[in-house]
Amino acid sequence: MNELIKFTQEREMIVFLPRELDHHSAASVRAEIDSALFSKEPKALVFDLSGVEFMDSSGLGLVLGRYARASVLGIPIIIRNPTPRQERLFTMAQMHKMVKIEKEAKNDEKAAK
Amino acid sequence: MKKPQNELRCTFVSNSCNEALARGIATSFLIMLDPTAEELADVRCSVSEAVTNSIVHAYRGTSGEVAMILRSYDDGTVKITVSDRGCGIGDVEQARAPLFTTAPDEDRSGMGFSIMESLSDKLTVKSALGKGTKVTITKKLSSKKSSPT
Repeated sequence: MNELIKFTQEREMIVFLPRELDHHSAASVRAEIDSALFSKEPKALVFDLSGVEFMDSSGLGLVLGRYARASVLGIPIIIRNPTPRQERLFTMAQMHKMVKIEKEAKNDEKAAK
Repeated sequence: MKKPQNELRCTFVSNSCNEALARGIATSFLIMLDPTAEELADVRCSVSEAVTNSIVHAYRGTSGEVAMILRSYDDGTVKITVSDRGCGIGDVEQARAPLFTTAPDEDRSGMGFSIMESLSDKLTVKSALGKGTKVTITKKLSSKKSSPT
């Protein structure tokens, strides 16, 4: 993983989640995400899943925990570019009601895989 | 069920880095059975959930051994048992309910058992307080090949 967090000109905070998103890797990125969230107070918190090849319920937990913090600050959460399998997990946990799930058109190479 | 065609037993310490190791072992075992990509992903995720439960909940604040046994049968069925000697689950039915968790402040989603149930054909959970928990995931692969060629 090269870069975990990026800010856009529109003040979106984009988090590029690790390739294998499990309890172990979630624990290693949590603190950095929270510290950036509270210090920068972005307009939106985006979790980009383009690089995620594996995700289990710990990925859901990571997003849920950030949702709890972001909603206090009034910051919406966006899940960007999940695979159908990843999207199913979010739906199973009823999280599609809390976060916005969106796909970027330019990310064709992932869909083609 | 009859004698397994193939069997792999392993034991590892409850370090979180071994979640990926357990998935890797399950992948290596399964790949010989020619699973579909979906089946392999289902099993990898189920194994990850079971092992994470042992690490996060069973051995909370301590550490111990997690044992994993993988068995394949000639009808394409795969059975994976993940067991620990941790704290055990008092109310298994409650633990299996969607969104139930004992550790929401640690970013647990409460979806582990629900995901395992949905991705496998059968899930059994045996647990005794103070003794440990044994989770068995059963998955029937569409390919009939169950022994390495």
